[in-house]
Amino acid sequence: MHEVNRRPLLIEVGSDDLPARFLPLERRHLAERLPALLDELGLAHGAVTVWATPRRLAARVEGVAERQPDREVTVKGPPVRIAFDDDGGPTRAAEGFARKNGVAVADCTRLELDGTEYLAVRRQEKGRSLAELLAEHLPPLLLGIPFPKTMRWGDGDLLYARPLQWLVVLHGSEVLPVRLGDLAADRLSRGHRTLADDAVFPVPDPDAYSGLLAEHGVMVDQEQRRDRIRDDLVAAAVAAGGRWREDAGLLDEVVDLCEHPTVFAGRIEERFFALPAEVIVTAMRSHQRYFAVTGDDGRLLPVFLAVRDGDTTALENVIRGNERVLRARLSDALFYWDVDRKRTPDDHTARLADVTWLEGFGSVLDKVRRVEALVRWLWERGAGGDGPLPAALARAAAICKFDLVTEMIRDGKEFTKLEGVIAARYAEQAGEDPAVCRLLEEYHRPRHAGDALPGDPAARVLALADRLDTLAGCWLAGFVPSGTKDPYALRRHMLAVQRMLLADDVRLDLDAALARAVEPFAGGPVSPEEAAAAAAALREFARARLEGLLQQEGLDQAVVRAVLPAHGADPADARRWGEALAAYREDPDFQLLATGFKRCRNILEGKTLSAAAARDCLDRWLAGGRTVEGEPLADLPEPAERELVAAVAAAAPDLAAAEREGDYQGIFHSLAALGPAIDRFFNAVRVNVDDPDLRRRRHGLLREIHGLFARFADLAQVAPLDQPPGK
Amino acid sequence: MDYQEMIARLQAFWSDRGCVVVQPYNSEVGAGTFNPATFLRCLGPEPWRVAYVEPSRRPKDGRYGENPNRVQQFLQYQVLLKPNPPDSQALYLESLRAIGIEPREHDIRFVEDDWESPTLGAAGLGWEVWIDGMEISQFTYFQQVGGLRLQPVSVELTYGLLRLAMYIQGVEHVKDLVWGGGLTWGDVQGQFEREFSVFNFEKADVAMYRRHFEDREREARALLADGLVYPGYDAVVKCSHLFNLLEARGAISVTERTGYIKRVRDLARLAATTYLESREALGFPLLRGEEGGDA
Repeated sequence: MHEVNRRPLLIEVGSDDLPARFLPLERRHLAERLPALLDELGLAHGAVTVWATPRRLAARVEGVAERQPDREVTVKGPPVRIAFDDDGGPTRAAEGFARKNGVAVADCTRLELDGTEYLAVRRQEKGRSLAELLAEHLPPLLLGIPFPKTMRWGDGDLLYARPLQWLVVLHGSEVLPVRLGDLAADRLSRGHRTLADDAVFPVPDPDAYSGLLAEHGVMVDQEQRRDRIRDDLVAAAVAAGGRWREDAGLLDEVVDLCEHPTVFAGRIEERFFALPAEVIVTAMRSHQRYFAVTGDDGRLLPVFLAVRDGDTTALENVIRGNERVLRARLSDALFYWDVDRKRTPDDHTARLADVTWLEGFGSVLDKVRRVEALVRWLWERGAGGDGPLPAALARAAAICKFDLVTEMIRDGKEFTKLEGVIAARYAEQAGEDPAVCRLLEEYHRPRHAGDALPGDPAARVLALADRLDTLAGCWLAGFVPSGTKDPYALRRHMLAVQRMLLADDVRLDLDAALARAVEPFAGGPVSPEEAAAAAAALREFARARLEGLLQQEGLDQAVVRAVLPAHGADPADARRWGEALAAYREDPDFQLLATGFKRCRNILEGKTLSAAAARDCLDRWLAGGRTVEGEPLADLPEPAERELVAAVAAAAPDLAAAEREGDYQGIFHSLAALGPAIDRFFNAVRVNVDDPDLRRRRHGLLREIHGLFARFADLAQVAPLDQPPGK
Repeated sequence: MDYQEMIARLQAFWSDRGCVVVQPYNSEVGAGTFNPATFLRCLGPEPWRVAYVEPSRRPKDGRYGENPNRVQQFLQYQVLLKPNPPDSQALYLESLRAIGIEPREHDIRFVEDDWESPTLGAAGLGWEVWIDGMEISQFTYFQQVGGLRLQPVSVELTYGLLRLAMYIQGVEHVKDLVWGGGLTWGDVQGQFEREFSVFNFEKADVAMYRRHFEDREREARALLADGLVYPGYDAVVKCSHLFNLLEARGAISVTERTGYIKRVRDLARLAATTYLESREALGFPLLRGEEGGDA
């Protein structure tokens, strides 16, 4: 075998400008798929490097073989037993096979497969060339980049993120015949759009590529652009007498917005510093993509840093233009700031009466009033802490939405996401208590998945009230989440509510809170029946969220399902029950108990205690054990059943005490101790006997036992699998 | 360079690039896209290259002529190239040179901005074009218009003439823009802007315009049913403006809004399909003289 010729491979796909957010996707796609493709095709290759700018996607692969290695191929023919006749001469099957493969029967070899011997032909197959293979396999790889959106252009039918412009595919100095639709690969690349006047130039071979691009004003390597931008931002900030305020997300974006970055600094006029720093930074960052500079004390300096795609030619134009744009944005903000401050938070709040919250569900002012009432209700139930309702919380609740009518938020553009922050700043200006201002900002947390939760009890209560009211109103207005549709993010709101309760281990009957949140709408936009139905549906919705959330907290799904029916109303309590159950789940006695529980349920075939009867089940056991009809259980005939009744009655005081003290481990400990007695009962006693009276009495016993255990958990969920059905 | 000079240069530039230069549509439109020279002509297989100024009305954006940047009527410069030439971006940059903007001396960016018009049932991919941080144009490869998939694809270039001129002249308030003939934008348009803001926000007769909407909607359907594409589409354009006006007047609630938009979109679809049928019946006359009809 001769040595295969290995040379570097270069691919460059030129296009109209791609969105910055697409560049990481295409780099990842190529970095994963290109080597995988070469491997799959049996083409030897070295390391792969991938670069992208808005106008080009490029890959360089070291030492790519120019063809696949030759290989020996074995073609399987008919089994030997039918290939030759009794005289040992070839049959038609053998001759046909040989002919098809262009050999004589005598030249065929044998192949054994699963104990059968076959006629076979072995031959050397030439490896296919890189050119041929890439022509076939590269286009689908390039056109298969998972862009979030694609388009068509011109007369063609190709789909890509933006129109394709040129294609370079070079193996060493040789152009490979790859086509993307009408576009045929050649060696012609293009320079920077303005710095090189979009010049078309030939690339002799892959080694010359990045050097030629650099000569034509393009920094193709994103890491080089990133280093350049970061270094220049740091230096420019120092030159302005401060420090660059690092912003990794913005840096990532800016790196992929240019082919030749040049950092420049612009000035922010002093008069804009009357504005809150958040407003200035938002105006700079969210649309214009400017970086901020801070002084030693962390305060903003009147300078912004930005990146131009180009060199320093006429940089003064760029600086002047960008300063002008920022000035216009900040002038709008300053105008809003001045106008908005002419009204107090109470004035603004009064105007909320004219703002519809949800069509048919009243104004935002109505919502504020409901939230105020709900805050009091929650506080009285201990969702915040001991003591009377803090004055700051009451005040913050009364004005919690006032910024919605301020011009700053109504503008509907970048400042809208500062809701809450704006309220806090205006409240400060109006001389509100600092605690009130802090609450106005903090209760909006968590603003997104992974965001911090409200930091103190008062903020938490306001946040809970606001979100519970939103859940109730939106649900009633018909915005029930389904599939991917959740226009008011109710799933996120419910999760936020539960995360807040879990994070600080706050005890709250969430079912009752949801019912209370729904209440104000009953008799208004909806009937009392609709309201009750919504409260029930919201409870189920809450359970489903909590089931996932508790599993995220490390509880097993079966454990979660066991505790939710009895304790799911109170998320923090449900978690404690779950943790206690998890500790006892593997205990052998406890497993006997769970099995017994499941048997009770199966035998009862759903005829368990009513909710009302189950409520004082424990009291009946404390009194020695009797059915809900008052029939004593202690005088059943069999020793095993009398033993069980005695054991449960004896455990009842411990269970009651443990429940009173919130000692859930103690409860499961006492329950586990009953496991052997239950097991003995089911082994020794037949429940469904012919004697109808005895059968009825035994069912009564099972009902009381089932009712008692179900009070603590649905033990069937954690019972061992595959138990024989109850006798 | 004054405002009218800038417009004249764009007209000359696109005229030299083989565009038919037409005049504004003589009815209120929200954007140059509504002009039938764009909305209808982008449909079907016939080639088309057109350029025109379009006075665009956005009643909601009026600020009585007081806001430095927002007005309820502004001029757009609209270019539609069908099929889109491969060098559309380069052509656009060339057009900036024609109005005195040398790209090398500025920072020109193509910033992702996909476009969608719910009332026209239209969508496309493209950019807003920035010069030194300021948006001056919208650049869109139409993918769908009137609910119909476009083949071939057209590119639409929309220059915000006011912004562009303000930038070139370095003025901060629209009223100070030098229009030409020794007059400013304020001299020429100021009173118009102020009075129409009053009209849009305070005076427009809601009951009457609601009625007009209903009438025009009915008329559009009837005319389109008779195969009268242009008069029918004209009624659609009027419906769209009436909706914008009623909305600025605060007469349309959030729930009603969706319904109105759908009504206009349904009409736009109807106009689009009727237009295509009519052109097909005529044998797509502009395809004549096209070379290589091998498609």
